[in-house]
Amino acid sequence: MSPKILIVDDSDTTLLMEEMLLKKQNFQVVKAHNGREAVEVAIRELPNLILMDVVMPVMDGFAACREMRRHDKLQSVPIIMISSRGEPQSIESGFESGCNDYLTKPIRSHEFLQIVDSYLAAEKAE
Amino acid sequence: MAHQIELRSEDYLQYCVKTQPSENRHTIWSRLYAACRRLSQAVREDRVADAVVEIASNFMACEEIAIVKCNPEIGFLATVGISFEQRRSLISNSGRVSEELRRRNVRIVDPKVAGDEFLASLGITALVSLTHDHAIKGAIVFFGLLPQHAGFESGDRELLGLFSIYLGPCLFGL
Repeated sequence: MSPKILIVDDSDTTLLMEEMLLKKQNFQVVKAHNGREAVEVAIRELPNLILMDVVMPVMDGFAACREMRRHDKLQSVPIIMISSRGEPQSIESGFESGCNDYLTKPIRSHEFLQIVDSYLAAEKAE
Repeated sequence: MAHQIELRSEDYLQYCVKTQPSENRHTIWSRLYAACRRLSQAVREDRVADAVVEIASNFMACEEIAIVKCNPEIGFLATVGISFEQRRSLISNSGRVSEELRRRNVRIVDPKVAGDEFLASLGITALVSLTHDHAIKGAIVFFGLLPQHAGFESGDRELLGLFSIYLGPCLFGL
């Protein structure tokens, strides 16, 4: 079974690009449009990797990350924040909330897929 | 129009399939694919202006955007992130901005290039004219980019070109 990746963003534009890139690499993709929905989907689907936007309505990415880390089954799932907010304090907040890595938008195909592969390979090795 | 844009997205998807992700063109095709899909969805929902702002914010790192009509006076159809001063400067320079729109459909402003000084003085970084029935009806005006981005990338011009082709009829023709 191919790895399952949860992509989270309030922007359909970004979700369209990420979903296409991941499905072309034969990953399973599940989606959420805000942090609250992301937590619910993550608990239900138990993805191998989570790619999450930061600025979202209802619940932002940092809060969702903290919430996910409180769940036993999600504590070790790699979470990569993907945001247009590339300021050092934003990145620091991401790591403080429990994420594993941080990518700045606009995403680039190669960099995006490289980081996905690196975290899935690490997870497989464990 | 939605169907036309969707067909375009299929073309970009095929280009993605034929290009390695390691190539810069793959990123450009991927963004154009997603932008077309998003725009076709937006045309169906009659929310084109929202989609333009979303695409620009996510793919071009620009969150100061105005979508305007030019009658020839400038009126605002949608804005995000722009200040009162930026709005006022567009309105008070309507005539000159309209003239600039006639020069080229897609304009990435370079303050060092002769002829771009006026737009640069308004803080404009890119300008896309929106035409319908062979007349310029409006424009998308881009102001500042997010701090971590030095300027527009090569693929951005193609995205702006997409806006130039489809958004005039979408916003002023339907």
